[in-house]
Parts: sequence; structure tokens; C-alpha cells
Amino acid sequence: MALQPIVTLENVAKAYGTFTALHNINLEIGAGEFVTLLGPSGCGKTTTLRLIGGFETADSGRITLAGADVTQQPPYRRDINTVFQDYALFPHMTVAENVAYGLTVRANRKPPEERARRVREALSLVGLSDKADRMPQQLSGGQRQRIAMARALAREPKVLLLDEPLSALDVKLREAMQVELKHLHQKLGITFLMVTHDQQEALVLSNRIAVMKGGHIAQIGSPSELYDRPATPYVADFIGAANLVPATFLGSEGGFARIRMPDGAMLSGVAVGSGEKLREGEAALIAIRPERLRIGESRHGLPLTATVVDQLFHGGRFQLELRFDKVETPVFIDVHRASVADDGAVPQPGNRVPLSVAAPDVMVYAAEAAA
Amino acid sequence: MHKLMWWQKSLVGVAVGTLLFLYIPVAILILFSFNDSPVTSFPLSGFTLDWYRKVFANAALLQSLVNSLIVALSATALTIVIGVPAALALDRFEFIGKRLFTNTILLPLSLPGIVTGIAMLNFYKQIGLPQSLGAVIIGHATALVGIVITQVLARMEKLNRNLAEASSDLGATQVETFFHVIFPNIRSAIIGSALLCFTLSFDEIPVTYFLTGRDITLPMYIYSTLRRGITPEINAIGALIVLVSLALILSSVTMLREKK
Amino acid sequence: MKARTRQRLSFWLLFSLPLAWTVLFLILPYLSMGMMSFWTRKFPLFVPDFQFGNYIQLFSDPQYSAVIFRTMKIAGLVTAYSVALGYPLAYFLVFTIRSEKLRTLLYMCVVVPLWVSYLLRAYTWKIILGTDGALNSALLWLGIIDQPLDIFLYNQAAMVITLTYIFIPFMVMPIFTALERIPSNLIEASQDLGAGPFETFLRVILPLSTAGIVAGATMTFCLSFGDFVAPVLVGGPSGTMVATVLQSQFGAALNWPLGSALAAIIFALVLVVLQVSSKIDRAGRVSMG
Repeated sequence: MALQPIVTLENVAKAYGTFTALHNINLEIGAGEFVTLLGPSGCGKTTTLRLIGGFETADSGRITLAGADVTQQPPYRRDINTVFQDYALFPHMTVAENVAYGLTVRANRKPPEERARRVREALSLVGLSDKADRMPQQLSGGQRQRIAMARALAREPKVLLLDEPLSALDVKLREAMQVELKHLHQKLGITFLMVTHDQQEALVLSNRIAVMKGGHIAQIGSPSELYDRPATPYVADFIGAANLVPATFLGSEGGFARIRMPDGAMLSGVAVGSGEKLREGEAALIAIRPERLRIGESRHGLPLTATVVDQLFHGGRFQLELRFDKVETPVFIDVHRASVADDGAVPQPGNRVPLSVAAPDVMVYAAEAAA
Repeated sequence: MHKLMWWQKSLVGVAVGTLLFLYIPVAILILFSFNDSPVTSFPLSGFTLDWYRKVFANAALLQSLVNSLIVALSATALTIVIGVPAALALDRFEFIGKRLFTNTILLPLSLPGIVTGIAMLNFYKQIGLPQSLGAVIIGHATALVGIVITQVLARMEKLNRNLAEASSDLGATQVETFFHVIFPNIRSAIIGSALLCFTLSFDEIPVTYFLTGRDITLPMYIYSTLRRGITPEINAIGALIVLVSLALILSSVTMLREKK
Repeated sequence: MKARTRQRLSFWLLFSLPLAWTVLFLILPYLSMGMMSFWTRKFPLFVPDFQFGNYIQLFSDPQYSAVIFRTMKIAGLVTAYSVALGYPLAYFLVFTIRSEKLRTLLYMCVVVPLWVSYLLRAYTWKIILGTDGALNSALLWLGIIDQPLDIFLYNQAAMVITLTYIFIPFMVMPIFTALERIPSNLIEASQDLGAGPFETFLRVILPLSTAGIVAGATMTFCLSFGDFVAPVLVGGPSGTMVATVLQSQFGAALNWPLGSALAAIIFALVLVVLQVSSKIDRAGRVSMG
């Protein structure tokens, strides 16, 4: 990254009793970036966030903030602020008092006029200027979330940590807040570090995403990098959807590989995901994104055949569950109703359908890499 | 947490000191119950079980102990008989004066016992109930019923209303529903609060003081002995009471916590 | 049978005994005590009447008013010391002890003495503070003093010590509960925003635990106000409290109307304290989360 790193983690590890939450994590976050730590629960993303915030101490390794080593510093000495998962608004203070809190602490006390100004600005930034004298309990979930943001931003920190900020909101509100969050980041220009298990959220908001699993970073890159060139089947399946099908690796040349499907069909020119680690004849896993599979024959794509097992109605589209011959795991594709003459034209369960996919859209990985 | 700061260290000091403070007097009591001397002075004079022997040979004391047991058992039984139906009624029905009733039965527990004792004495005399163990039993039951009612009510509030409805749906009458569905779930609350009532009744002083006639309870015996002067027998009784109370409390708490 | 009637029947089946019992043995006694406070005493009998003489006597006669104020002072001191010692102990249990098991164990250790004979716990101070008691003899033995001191027992200080000792667990319980309820993310948020541990304590933890302090203080004040065990055992002549006066009015002095009036005053005072405290509690009530 060409940006100045503002937060770095060097070989940071953390264990709780016998459970290792983080195995030697290395991470560099550039100033002004929006980075998301993405993964299922237990992958270590929250632990990483808490280590950066200062709520936990690393067992080994170094954490720096703007060049300074903050590994042993408590939270109140780090110029980082957090938006907590359930907002953590002080119930015994008004909204204005909550937002002003960080400006009234002994270590950072601002004169009253400046304090009032910053509180006003923070509240108008999140669009809640008229709620200044309310108590947190009187606000809705979405409003509380925004006050939590205002409170953290009032201190104008170098880095803003967001711990699953939208997970408690319902779908419609969440989508609206995602847009607001993106605008806020662009407007303020400060570094955002977010933790979420929602990959769609990560794709929409981030400059870079770090996909985590079992205490490691599986891959870090921009959303399109992760989507188009996932390093492992896990990442492929976590970001967007991926149909994973077992196959046999036959060899590769110049970045493209040949594989044999379980039913004997040979495909060549497929993209090498982590396939360069494979040897001829070894078991592999291929990943195909649903939207890259087309029904029907195509002159340019690789031909495949599958049997329809089920048809699921999703409103504007049908989702078809298919099986390739000799493959247990199902494969899914979408058929948009707008693309067919009528619903009757959509393949029914029992039909055998021809499919085609562009060769570079098939990614081959080592089978053990599915770990 | 990082290293403790100065004020946190002194906090720990005060806290530990207070904890010790709570136990030193009890420790001294037990210590001197084995001490071979009529006065509770240091240095210690030697180990003896005489005081314990005296306790077990003291007929008046033993009689008062029996009286205390009778009172505590009867009062506890009464609190259950009165309290459980009351809790059921309060849980299921709304009626005028419900709030008032709940506040009233809790009065004896918030007011100094002496006020309750006097009020009861006043009135019971007027209705012809003489000072006696009977009066004491009634007084204790009345003062303590609030405990059973609040504990059982609290447990019933946690109980899913659907259970009773499901039972009814499946054909059980009110009575059957009570015995098969409600009772098993409130049983531990009943037992726990009963144990609590028993212990409180056993140790009760102010209400007992005013309602007691010729037959006295153990606290009354100890109290009147103390007014005459200290005898180390009291230390021995004390140590025994501490032990028994401990056992009762622990079982009461385990019961009340059981279905967390 | 109609549903409504059936419901009425089951209600009364359940409630008639408790109601009758409560009215007869609890409500009427309190009421009749209130009534008797207006009676006159014509030695050796008490005559039903309606006059305020008893109340006037209690407020104007310094003998009685002094006792009332002294009792309030002592109850106040006991409450203050109980808070001063009980709060740190509760805080220690909740925030300094990390292990759940140890915390529960120590909490039990604090609470258990509460149920071990009130009388005995007051009595232990009698044997500690007396001229031939444990404290004096220990000091003598250690050579710190050469004559037993009689300043320890039979005075107000002894009562305050005894009652504080008895009520500390009463204080710890509600404060412990209140402190435990504070979500840990509030503390983290406070630190995240720059407040150190002490400031976090003053601005977040303490305000959110006041409900517990109020609950404990109310109970301690009310119960020590009406206590008569401590004055009798360790109070001595200068340690007369309201309860001892009450005792004698129903005992030797044989002035039941006056005693009833005094009891009614205590009743009213305690109710006022309870009301005030419940108002404070409601005003400050904050829902967590």
C-alpha cells in the first residue's frame, strides 16, 4: 500500500488458556483506509480488534499506532476510539453528555465552548442534533448506534474501531446505515477498522478486507481481488458464493491448468487458484461462482452437464440446485425470471441441463486447502 | 487489568480487613467456648469441653431449645400453608388492593421487629390471646409469611405461563395442573424459603420478647441469661448455633439456586 | 358453571385464608396500636380516648426527644460506617476477584454471618470489649496497657461498632448485586474514551451503583433505628435508644398508650425513609442496555 501505515501488528499472538485465538498475526493498516476483518465467530477478528483497542494484551508481538509502540498501553492512553457492538452508551447520562464524555476526561479536558462545538458537530454529523437532551433508553436501536459513533468521533481519533456495528439492526436499516457509514468514512478521511461476519457488508464498505479463519489471516486484499482471485476455497466460499466441486488435477502450464471432472469430462485452461502446489493425479477442488455458470451451450465456454434436483423460488429469480454426475455436493445457479420467456421455461427437477462456463472462471485449488 | 494502582491496593486492604473483621468476633466466640476459664480473657487457660457439657446438662436451656424448635417448625408450616395459596392467587389474579396486600405483608420485614411485636401484643391481648408459645407461633408466622410469598411469587413469574395453559389444553383440572406442573417447579422455592423462615424464627427476638409467656425460646433464654451476667456456657451455645445455622443456610441457598 | 364464577371461586379458595389471617393478625394489630396511641393512661388502666397528649409528651419532654435524636444519630453513624466498609468489600468482590468460583465463595462468606443469630453477634462484642474481655486482656498481655480500660464498653461507640458489625453484610448484598449488573462494556467504553480507572469509577461505576447503596442504607438505617439488642447488651446507661424506652413503657413503666405512640412514631419514620428511598431509587433508575 502506498499509504502511510497507521496501525501495525507484528507477530501478534494471543491465547486464552489452551485455546489459541491468534497465531502470529501480521497486519498493516494505512492511514485513511477502511479495513474490514471478516470471518465467522471464533476466527479471531474480535480478538484482533480488542488487542488494537487495548482491552486485551497480546501474549507476544508488537502493536504500533502512528509509529509508537502501544502494545502495553491501556485503552485510555491510545488515540483510538471504539464503537461497541451493543453501543455501550452510559444509561445515566444524556445523549449530549455521552458524546461529550471523551472530551471531559481529565487527560483530555477541553474548554466548555470547544466541547459544546465538537458535540454539536458530532451530533449533526450523524443527523441527531435534536436528540441531545434525551436519555439513551429513549432512542431506537439505529439512533443509539449513531450516537455511539458520534461519541467515538467527537474525540477525532486517528483510528475508529467498529465492532460489528450493524449486526443488531434489521435488514432495511442495516442497508441504509451501510451507505451512511461509507459516506462518513469518505467525509472524515480517518482510518476505519471494522469487524463483521457479513461478507456483503465487507464488500460494500471496505478498501481492503482481511478474511480470517482459526486465528490466521487467510487472505487480505481489495474486495475485487478477494472476489475474483480468492486464494483458498474457504475465501472463495466466504466472499460471495462459490460452488465447490471435487476434481482431479492433471497438470498446468503457464498459469492455466487441466483437470478431470468425476464423470470423466476434461477441462483445460482453468485458472490456477492454489493449484501450483498440486502434482499430477492429485485430488483437487474447483470453485465456480454461480453467476458464471450459464444454462445452455456456448461456443466459448467449457461444456458441462448436470441434473436439476430442486427449484427454489426467490421472488425475482429461481435458484436451481443441480448435481454433476458422480458428485455428491450440490451446485447452485440462479435463473432470473426476466431472462426467460415465462416461468415454465425454467428447468424442472429431473431435467438434465447443459451448462457452460468460461475457463478462467473455474479456479482450481489443492483439496487440503479447503481447511 | 494492568498493575493495581495505589488506590486499588488500599481498596483491597480495606476489603480484606473488613472480611476479617466480620469473622474475628465469631472466631473469638468459638475459641473461648473451649477455654478453661470463667472469663473471656487472654491468655488462654487451657482446653476444656466443660462448657459444652454444662450446656447439655442445663435443663432450662434444653427446654428452651425444644420450645424454639416447636415454634420454628409450627411457624414455618403456617407460613407455607398461608403463603403458597396467597402466592398462587397473587400470580394468577388481578384485584383491588393487590399492591396494598403485598406491601403490607412485607412490613414486618422492613420495620424494626419491636414495633411489630408491640402491635401484636396490644391486639392479641385484646382479642384474648394470651402471651404464650401459641402467640409466638402466630406472631412469627405472620411476620415471616412475606418471605414465602415473595420467593414463591418470584419463582412463578419466571415460570412459563404456557406450561399451565398446555396442561389445561391436555385436559388437566386446576388442581391437577397445580400438582403436576406448578408445584414441581416451585418446590425448591418453597423449601428454600421455608428453611429461611425456620432459621429466622429460630433466632427471632423482638417479636418473641413481647409475645412470650412462661415458656421461652432459646434466644429468650440466652437474652435473659445475658442480662444477669456472662457465663461461658453462652459461648458454647453460641458456637453450636453458629454451626447449625451455617448448615441450614447453605442448604437453603443451594435449594433456592437450584433451578437457575 | 360460568367461567367468571369459576374464577371467582378459585380466587377465594386460595385467598380467603391468607387474607383473613393477614387482616386479623397483622393489619388490625398495627391499626389498633395506632389507635391506642391516642388513649390516656389512668393508672393502672388505659382509657380509650382520642387525644394527642402522648405525642406532645414525646416531642416536648426532652427525656424522650433526646432519645429519639440520639437514636437517629446512632442509626446514621452505623449507616455511614457500613457504607464506608461495605462498598469497598463489594467492589473488591466484583471487580478485583477474577475467578467466578472464588467470588461466589467469598460472597457467601460475607453473607453467611447475617443469618447466624443476631443476638450472638451482638453478644460477641460484649465479650470482646468488656473490662475482662478479649480486647483488654490482649492489650494487657501484650503490654500495651497496664490497666484494663473501661472506655470500650457501655457507651454509644460500642453500640455503633456492634451495629456496624452486624449490618455490613446487609450493605454488601445490594451493592454487590448493583455492581455485578453493570455491563463490562460500559467500563471499556469509558476507558476507550480516555478515562483512567479512577475516573471511570467516579463517573460510571459509582453512579450506576447508587441504587444498591440506597437500598442497603435504607435497610440499615431502619433496622438499627429500631434495634434493642445492642443498647441492652453494650449500650449502658448513656446508650438508651428508642427501643429501650419502648421496652420499658410496655414493661415496668406500664404506659401502653405512650409506648404505642412511640411505636407509631417509629413506624411513621421508617415509612418515610422507605418512601424517600424508593423515590430516589425510581428517579435514578436506569435500564441497562
